[in-house]
Amino acid sequence: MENEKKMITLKSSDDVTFEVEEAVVLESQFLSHLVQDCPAPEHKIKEVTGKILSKVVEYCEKHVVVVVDGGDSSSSSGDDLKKWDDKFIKEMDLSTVYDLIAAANYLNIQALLDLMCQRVADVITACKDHKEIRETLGIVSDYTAEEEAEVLKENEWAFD
Amino acid sequence: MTLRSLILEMRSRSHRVVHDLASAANSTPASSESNRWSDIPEELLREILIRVEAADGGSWPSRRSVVACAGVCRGWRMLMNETVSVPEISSKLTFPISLKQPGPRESLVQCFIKRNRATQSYHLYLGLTNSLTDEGKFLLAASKVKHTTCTDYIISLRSDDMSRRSQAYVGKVRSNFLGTKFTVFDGNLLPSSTSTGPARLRKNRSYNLAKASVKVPLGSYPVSHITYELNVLGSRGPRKMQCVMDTIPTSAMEPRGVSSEPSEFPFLGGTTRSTFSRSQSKPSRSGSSHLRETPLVLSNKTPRWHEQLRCWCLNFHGRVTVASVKNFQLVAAAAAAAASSGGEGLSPERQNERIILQFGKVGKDMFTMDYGYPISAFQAFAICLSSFETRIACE
Repeated sequence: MENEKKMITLKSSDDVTFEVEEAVVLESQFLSHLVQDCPAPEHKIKEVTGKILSKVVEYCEKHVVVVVDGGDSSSSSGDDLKKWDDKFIKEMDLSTVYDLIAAANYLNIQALLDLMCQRVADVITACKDHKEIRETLGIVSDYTAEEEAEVLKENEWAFD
Repeated sequence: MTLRSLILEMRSRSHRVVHDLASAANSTPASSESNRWSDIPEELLREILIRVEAADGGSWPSRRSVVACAGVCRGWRMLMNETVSVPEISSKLTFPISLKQPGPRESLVQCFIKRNRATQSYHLYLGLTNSLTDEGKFLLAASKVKHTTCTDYIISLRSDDMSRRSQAYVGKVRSNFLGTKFTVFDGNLLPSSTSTGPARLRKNRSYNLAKASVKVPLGSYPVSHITYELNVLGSRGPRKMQCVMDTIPTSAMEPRGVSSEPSEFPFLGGTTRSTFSRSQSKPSRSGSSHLRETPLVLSNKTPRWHEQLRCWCLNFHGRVTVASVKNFQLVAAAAAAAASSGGEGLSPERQNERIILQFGKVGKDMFTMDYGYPISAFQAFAICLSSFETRIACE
């Protein structure tokens, strides 16, 4: 890399700033275009809060480091990264997961989006039925009573 | 239960979780927490639901999560509907309606039936392992009811609820007095009419349209007729069975043919009505349940006489282990005729003679049932039940 250690500052919606290497920013398709198109030292990201942006930066920094260190990415570094990802999402509450999904989608970071969607899918598959999914994610049913009875019947069959 | 009380109940139940979320996320106001996942953009929810659908290779019991997701709300149901493909393509059974959809074209769905002699009941399971009757996902239950002139097998989605009036009622098989002819009825499982009414119609426009425009007659209608006959050898030879599938045209067996069984997911959008499992399974009712085309006829493959074993044999490829008069393999009648005209059943089996349903004994009260396109699990089960009941037998 010629411009090694070129630093870029990202500013969240609530004006928290993060100084990161350019390589980290390139993990995001959205940010790499932004950096290329307007080479300012600081970029404000209005859609993402400081709390979430810090998570995004943490994730991207880790993934950049591993890819650079691993070179042709040996399997052990892949395993390490997987372990790191698991730990990264393990303690995260669902509200943060939601925000990270939105942020990963907005910033176009596919790997992070995949990770977070899988996390929600795992939460859903751990639920015992449709009611528990609603409770866990705070979703209110919009079914009629008649449809609700049908849903119940389907679930009873599925869980029989 | 009114909608309002339903919502209130949901809210009270979700309170604990909402509270946890709110306390965990300091940066966002608590009031917006409860509805966040309701507002997730469709394309992102799809990403999540695709992963739920793919969990564990799509097999049971993980598959129940797919059903649970479809039960969350309308939006989720619509997306799950787009994600899950019909058994004809995926070979997977997911929702109860899968039981009335045609089986896979390229393979057979491997099931087994447990008989309970004491209660005169039969339970159908989807096989989940390679062993013949190990563990299974419960699919359907049947219970024998004797009348003075006939016998009924009531088929239900629930093993503990065999009432004809029940929501779980799927259909029935009725035999004639002699036990030689059977009629399979597809039950119409509409919820009782008392539960429909303007009070329940909601905002969804397409739903209202569907509701208003579709009138589905109540009651059940015949979908197939099964006949057992003695062989020309009388009771000494294998019996002959024939199934006329009223709702499946002969053309369904052509490479691009389509079966008339339900392919739509119920109760969504303009094409369907409010219930999940039935109306879609109705062939067009204009001319009763009869097709304009010739209905498909299935008949059993004639077993070959095995000189050394001194018995009639069929090749079940390891799926049947106990000799029984009840064992059979069904093929499309045209194919069966072609095969038997080739040399009195002594000729080698035709390669192109695709088995549509095979049934046979593997234990004292255990039987395997493998079925494929164009018949459904419900139809296959019904045909097998007739094999239990028929009194046409050989020595």
